[in-house]
Amino acid sequence: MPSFFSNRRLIVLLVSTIIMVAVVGLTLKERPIPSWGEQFIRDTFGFFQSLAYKPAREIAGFFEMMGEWRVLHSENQRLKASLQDNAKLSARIRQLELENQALKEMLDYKEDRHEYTLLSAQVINRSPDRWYQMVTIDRGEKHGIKPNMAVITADGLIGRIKSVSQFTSQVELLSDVNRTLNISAVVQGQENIFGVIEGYDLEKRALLFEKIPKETPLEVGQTVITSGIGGVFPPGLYIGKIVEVSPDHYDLTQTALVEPAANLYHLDFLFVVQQTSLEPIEIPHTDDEENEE
Amino acid sequence: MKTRFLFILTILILFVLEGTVVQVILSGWSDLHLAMVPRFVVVILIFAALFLGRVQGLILGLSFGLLYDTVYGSVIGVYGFTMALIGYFTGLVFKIFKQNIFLILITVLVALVTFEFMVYGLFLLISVAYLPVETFLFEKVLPSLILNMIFALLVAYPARRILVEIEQEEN
Repeated sequence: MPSFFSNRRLIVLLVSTIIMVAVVGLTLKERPIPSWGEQFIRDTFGFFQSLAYKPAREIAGFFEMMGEWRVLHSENQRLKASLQDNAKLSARIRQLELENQALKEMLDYKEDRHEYTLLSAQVINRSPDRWYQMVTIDRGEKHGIKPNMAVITADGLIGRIKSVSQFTSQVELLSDVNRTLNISAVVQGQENIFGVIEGYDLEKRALLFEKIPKETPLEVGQTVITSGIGGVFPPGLYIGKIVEVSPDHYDLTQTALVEPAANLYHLDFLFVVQQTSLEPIEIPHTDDEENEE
Repeated sequence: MKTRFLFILTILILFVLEGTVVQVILSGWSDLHLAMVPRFVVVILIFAALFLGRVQGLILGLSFGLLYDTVYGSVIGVYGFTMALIGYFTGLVFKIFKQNIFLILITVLVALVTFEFMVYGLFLLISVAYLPVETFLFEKVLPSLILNMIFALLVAYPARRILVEIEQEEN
């Protein structure tokens, strides 16, 4: 029976602890472009993970569909009703848009257009330990993904690109408490209330929209979208709705809990938001690459 | 040699399944989704260390830990270090505990809890983790343990047979 701590072994343990601390310290910071070794490992595993994830998702989707079969009829009727509302609404939006355009022309208004294109991507894995709230998608640098791009689903914002490899990239979800990037957001009320989303409340499963002046009228149910201030995320991406408003610890400001509209547990197809207006020079370059493929 | 290759391939497949198929299954229940963490690779690593000894436990733990760090995380070193330690220390007790399947499962249980707490502690230090200890214990460790012990029970007999085979091939 070897003794648990001979001198040599103790030294090895200490040295390896020091090495670990050093490596952790070196890799702790934000690394949008990881080393080529990590990129290679992530891309290789990404390939096998996409082989496993897609069929699993399809089978799960089939069972979900079976479950939804029964409610399909009532849902169909509800959707038909809302479709009529939708037609009315889109007619009204068209009318307002025209009016808006006419007014802008009258004012000779130069707008800075924030146009973006959506790049569809598929989730290929999710970090199993819940310390990292992260998914990996099957699009990378080769497809034109860059760090800090916003990632959305059809329902709303879900996160941002954290690190990019050649063929895969990691997406940091909104539910990551350790998120380093704050999102500048705006509440659509009587007047727009600007603020920053600074964290995530795990128990209530809602985003924390903090440091709003105390007098500002906030209501449950108001819509929160990205404001585009700071230039990281484009404006107008839907985040969610306010579910609770409470004063902060010192009763100086108030905090709103914003429930994300997108389901952060059930992720399948995502869209990466590519801001074209910010980098006009790079557009022909990406076009060339697409043609080569 | 062939058995060993197949064994490592099995761990790699489990490694991929942890982040894909298991996540798809869990995604149906948002509550479980937060609580249950599959640690299938760690369970197999503990089995391997029990039968193949501390050096191989250390090497397997270090390589799969670093792989885990790279693919499922962003900070390198936390899983590499903890899984190497778990492999090494379960390898140290291998002579006593590998006789009986019940003792093996107890070892797996103790090693898993130790592993979870080591990872939690390290992540707390670098502020990736955020939960208070009680919440961590009752809402993360216990549900995960149920899942992983069921897995350990299922694979205990086949894993023992394969590992004994590898052990005999070596000698």
